[in-house]
Amino acid sequence: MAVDRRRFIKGSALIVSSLALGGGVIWLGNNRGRFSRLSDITGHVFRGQAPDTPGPFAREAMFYEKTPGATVVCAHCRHACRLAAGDMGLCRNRANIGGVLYSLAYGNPCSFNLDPVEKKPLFHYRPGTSAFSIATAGCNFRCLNCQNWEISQKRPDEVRHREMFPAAVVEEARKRGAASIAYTYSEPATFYEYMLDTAALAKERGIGGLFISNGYLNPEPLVGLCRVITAANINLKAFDETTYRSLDGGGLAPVLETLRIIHREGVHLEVTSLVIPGYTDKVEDLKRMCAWILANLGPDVPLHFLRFFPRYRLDRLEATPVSTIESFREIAMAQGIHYAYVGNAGITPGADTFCHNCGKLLIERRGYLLPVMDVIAGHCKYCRAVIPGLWG
Amino acid sequence: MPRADEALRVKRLLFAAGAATVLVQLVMVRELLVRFSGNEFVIAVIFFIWLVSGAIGAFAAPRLGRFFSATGERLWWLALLLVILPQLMVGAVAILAPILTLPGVSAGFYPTLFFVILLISPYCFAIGVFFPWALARYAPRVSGRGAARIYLADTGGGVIASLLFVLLLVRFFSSFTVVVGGGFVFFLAALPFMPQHRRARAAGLFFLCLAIAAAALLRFFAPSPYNGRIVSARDSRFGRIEVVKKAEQSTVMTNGRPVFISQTPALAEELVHYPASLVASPRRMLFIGAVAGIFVEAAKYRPRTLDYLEIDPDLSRVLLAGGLVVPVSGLRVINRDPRLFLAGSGDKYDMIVIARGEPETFGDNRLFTREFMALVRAHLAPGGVFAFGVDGFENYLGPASRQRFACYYATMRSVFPEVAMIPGRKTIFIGSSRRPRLDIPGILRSRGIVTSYLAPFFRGEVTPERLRYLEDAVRVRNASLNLDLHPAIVRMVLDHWFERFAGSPFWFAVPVCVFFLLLLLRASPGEYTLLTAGFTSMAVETVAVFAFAVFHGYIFEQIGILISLALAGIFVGLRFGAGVRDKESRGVILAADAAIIVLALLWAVSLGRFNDGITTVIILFMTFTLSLASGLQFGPAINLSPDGPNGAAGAFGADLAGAGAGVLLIALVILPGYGLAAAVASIAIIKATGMVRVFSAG
Ligand code: SF4
Repeated sequence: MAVDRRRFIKGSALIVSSLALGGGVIWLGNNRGRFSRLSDITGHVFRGQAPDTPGPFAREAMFYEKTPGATVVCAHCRHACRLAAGDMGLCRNRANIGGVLYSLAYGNPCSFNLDPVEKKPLFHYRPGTSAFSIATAGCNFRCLNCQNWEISQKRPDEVRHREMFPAAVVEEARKRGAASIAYTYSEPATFYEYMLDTAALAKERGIGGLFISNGYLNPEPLVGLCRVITAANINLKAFDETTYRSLDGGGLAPVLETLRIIHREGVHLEVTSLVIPGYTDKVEDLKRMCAWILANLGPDVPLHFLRFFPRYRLDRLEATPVSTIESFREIAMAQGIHYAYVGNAGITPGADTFCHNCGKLLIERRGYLLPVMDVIAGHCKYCRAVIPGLWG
Repeated sequence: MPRADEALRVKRLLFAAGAATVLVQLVMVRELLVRFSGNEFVIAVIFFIWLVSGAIGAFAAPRLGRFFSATGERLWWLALLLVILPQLMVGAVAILAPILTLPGVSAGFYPTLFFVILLISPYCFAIGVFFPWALARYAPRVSGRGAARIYLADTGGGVIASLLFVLLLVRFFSSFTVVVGGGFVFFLAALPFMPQHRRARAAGLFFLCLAIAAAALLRFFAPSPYNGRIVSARDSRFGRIEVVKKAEQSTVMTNGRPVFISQTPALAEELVHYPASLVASPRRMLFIGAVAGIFVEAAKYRPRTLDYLEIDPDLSRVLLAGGLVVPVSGLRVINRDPRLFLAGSGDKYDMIVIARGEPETFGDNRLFTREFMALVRAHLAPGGVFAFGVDGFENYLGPASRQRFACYYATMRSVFPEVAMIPGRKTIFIGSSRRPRLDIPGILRSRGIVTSYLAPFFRGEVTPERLRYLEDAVRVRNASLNLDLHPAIVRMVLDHWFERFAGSPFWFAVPVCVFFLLLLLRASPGEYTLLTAGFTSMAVETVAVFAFAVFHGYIFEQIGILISLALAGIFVGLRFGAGVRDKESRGVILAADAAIIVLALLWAVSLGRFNDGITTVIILFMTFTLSLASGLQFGPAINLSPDGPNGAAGAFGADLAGAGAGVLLIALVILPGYGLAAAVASIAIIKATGMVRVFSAG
C-alpha cells in the first residue's frame, strides 16, 4: 500500500488534530479547578419516593406552600423543593404525602451522645459543660467530606433509630446532667419541627439549645428557632459560591444571611471554617471572609478553623498542614477578629482563649479538659474586660 | 515470500505481541489503580473490560475483514496502532483522571468504569482484531493446529514478559519506559511486514515518533493529583509510593491514597496506648505496618523488643529515609510477610498491633482472618493483647458498616475470650484474655505516660453512649466469620465502598449478564467449550493466587511464578492440542472436560485437609494440570467451530469472554461470598455444562 500525498496529508491532519485535542486535554487538566468548579453537586428531589402514609414519626411541616394541584413547595430551606404528591425532598426527610408536606424525622433520632460542648465546637458557651447531642437522618447538603454520611445521606427509614419524642429527649438530657441539647451531626434544619419542639420544652426546663448547622435555613423558620435556642455554630464551608456548589451542594449568600439573622436575634453565635487544601485554603478568601464578619457580625464572634482530614469521598487528598490553620488564625486575628481558634490539631495554644483586651490567657484547653478557666462572670480575671459569650 | 517464512514471522510477531500486551496490561492496571481505587472490585473490572473488549474485537475481526482483508501490510499498520496506543494511554491516564473528578475526590464505581472503558477498550478491541488477522496470515485455512500455535506464541510472549515485569522491570523502569520498551520489541517484530513503499514506511515511523512525543508531553504537563509537591515517587511491587510535601507536613500516598500523614499523633496514640494500657507490662511489641509517630509512642514504655513488620521494603525504606518514621532505639525493621514471619518465629509479644488500613483485597485480608488471629494469639505472652483499627464509626454505623464491625468482632471473639472496641479516630478492636478496664487515662496517668491527644480528648471520644452503641451494633445474629478460605470482610468492605458512592453494581451487572446470555445462546459447541476453558483458566489463576497467598504469604515473586506456571500449563496444553486431528477433537474435549471436573472436585474436597507442604504441592499441581487441560481444548475446539475465519475469530473471542466471566464471577461473587471451596467447585459446574453442550451436539 503506497502512501500518496493525499493520504499523508490526511494522516498528518489526523495527528495534528489529535495533538490539538491533546493540547486541549492538557489545558483542561491544568485548569481542572476552573473546569471542575462548574460542577454542581446540589442533588435533586426524589420523585415518587415518599411513603404512602405518614408513619408514627411524621409531622406536618411548618413552612410550606400549597400550589394548585397536590404540589407543595417546601419553605424550610433555600432549596425550596417543589414536590408533587409522592415526592421526597432533596434532604430525604420531607415528603409530600397526599398534598401535605410532612417531616419524616420527628422523634426518631438515629444518633445521640453526650458530648463536651467544646466538641461542637462552642468555646464561648458554658465551657466544660456537656451537650446531649441528637441527630436524625437526612441533610440538605452533599458535602464530599462529610464525616457523618452514613446518616446525612440516608432516609429516616433507612437507619436504625430510637423512639425519643421531645419530652423524652429533654428527660434523657436531664438524666445525664447535660446543660444543653445540641441538634447536630446531620443537618438539624431538616428536622426542624422536632428540634423546635424539643428546644422549646428544654428551654422551659432550663436546658439550653445548640443549633449546629450549615446555615441553609430560610429566614422565617430561623427567626422562630432563635426564640428557643441559646447558641449556634454555623459552618461557613467556603467563601465563594462555586466552591460551595461543587464541594457541598449549597450556596454562600444564604449562609451569610443566616449568620446575620442569628447575630441580630441575639443568639450566641460561633462560626466554623474547615480549611481544605486546594479548596478553602486561599488567604484572599480568608481575608474577604474576615472582612465580611467584621462588617456584619463584629469582631467578637468566635471563629474556628478546623484541620481537614481525608474522609468520605474526599479521601485522596492530604490533610491540612498544622501551620496553615495556625497562620489562618493569626491572619484572622490580625484582621481584627478577637477570638480565632484552631481545631482538629491536637493540643495547641491556638485552641486557648486570650483576652482580646489585655492578651492574658483566660482559658487553657487541653483537649476537652480546661486546666485554666479565668473568665469570671463573663469578664477577664485580669483586666475585667467583657469577654463575649455565655459563661454562666 | 515463501509460506513457511511468513508463518515463522507471524509467530515471532505474535510472541512479541503477547509480551507487549502483557506489559501494557500490567502497567495500565497499575496506572489506573493509582488514579482510582485499588480495591478488588476495580482490579477485577479492569481485567474484565480488558478481556471482554478483546473478545468483542475478535468477534468483529471477520466482519472487518470483509472491508479490509488481512494483508501483511495491514497487519503492520494494526501492529503499529498497537504500539502507538499504549503510549497515548499511559499519557492520557495521567491527564484525564483529574478532569473526571475534583482534586482529591474518589471517583466511585461508575465513573471509574466509564474511564476504564474509554481508556483501554479501543486498545483491547484492536488486540482482539489482531489475532484472527495474524492467524489468517499464518495459514490460509484455519485449523485448530494453526490457531493453537498462534495462541502458543502469544502465550509464550506473555509468560516471559510477566516474569520480566515482576522480577525486574517494575523496580527499575517507569510505566512509560516499560510501555515504550515493550512497544519497541513489538515494532521490531512487525518490521518484516512493513510496507515496501518508502513513503508508507516514513509515514509509519513519523506517526510512531509523534505518538511517543505526544505521550511524553501529556505526562510532562499532567497536573499533579495532589495539593502538595511530590518529592519522591517510586513503584514498588505492591503499588506506587509517593511522598507529598505541603508546608511542614509530609504525606505518603500508596496508590493515590494517603496512608501516612505526619503531624497526626492521634491515631498513633490510640493504636499504642489503648492496647498497651490493658497489658500489665508491655515490653515486647510487634507492629504490622506503621502510622505517624507510632514508634515514639511505643518507646514511652521502654520496650525490650520493638519490631516493625512491613511487607513492602520500599515503603519502610521511604518512611525511614524521609524521617517519617523516627527510628527509636531498638527498633527492628523486618520486611517479611507477617504471616510467614509469625509462623517461623518463636518470639512472644505483649502486644501485636496492625497499624494499616482495612483489607480491600484478598492479599490484605489475610491479616484479619480467624486463622491469622489464632497465629497471633499463639505469639502473645500471657496477658498479651492484639489490636487493629477500623474506619467508619463517627456517630452511627450504617448497615454495611454494622455488618463489617460485627464480622470483625465475631472473628476476633472466636479467638480471644474478650474483645473491646474503643471509638476514636478509628475504632480500635482489642482482643485479650482478660476483661479490659476502660479507665485508660487513669491507667496512663498511673504509669506516667503522657499523651498529647488521647487523655485530653478521651472524655469526648469514649462516651458511655458510644461504647454501648458499638456493643449493641456488633451483636448481629449469625455474623459471618472472616476466614482464610472465606474472605467475608472483603465483600463487606466493597459493600461499604458502594454505599459510600450511593451506588450498586446492579446496572453494571445487567448488561454483563445480557451479553453472556446472548453469547451462551449463540455459541457453537466449540465456542462454548472455549468459553468454559477461558473461564477455567482465569478461575484457576485467581483461585491459585488467592490460596497460595493465604498459605504461603503474599510474595510478589512467588505469585508471579505461580501465574507463569498457569500460563506454562496452558502453553503445554496448547502444544498437545495443536496435534489433535479433526475427528479426535470431540473425544479430546470431553476427556479434558471430565479431567477438569474431577480435578476441580478433588481440589475442593482437599481444601483445609492437609498440612502446608502438601497443600502447596496440591496448589501447584492443580494450577498446572487444570491450565494444561483447558489449554488442551483450544485446538480441538477450533476444529469443532464453523470453518473459516469466523470460526477462529469466534473461538478466540469466546476464550477471552470466558476468561472475563471468570474474573468477575470468581473474584467478586463466589470467592468473597461463598469461599474458596465454592470457587473451585464452580469450575467443575461450569465445565459440566460445557460437557453437556458438546455431548448433546452429538
Ligand atoms: S428542607 Fe428539605 S425538602 Fe425542604 S427545601 Fe430544604 S431540602 Fe427541600
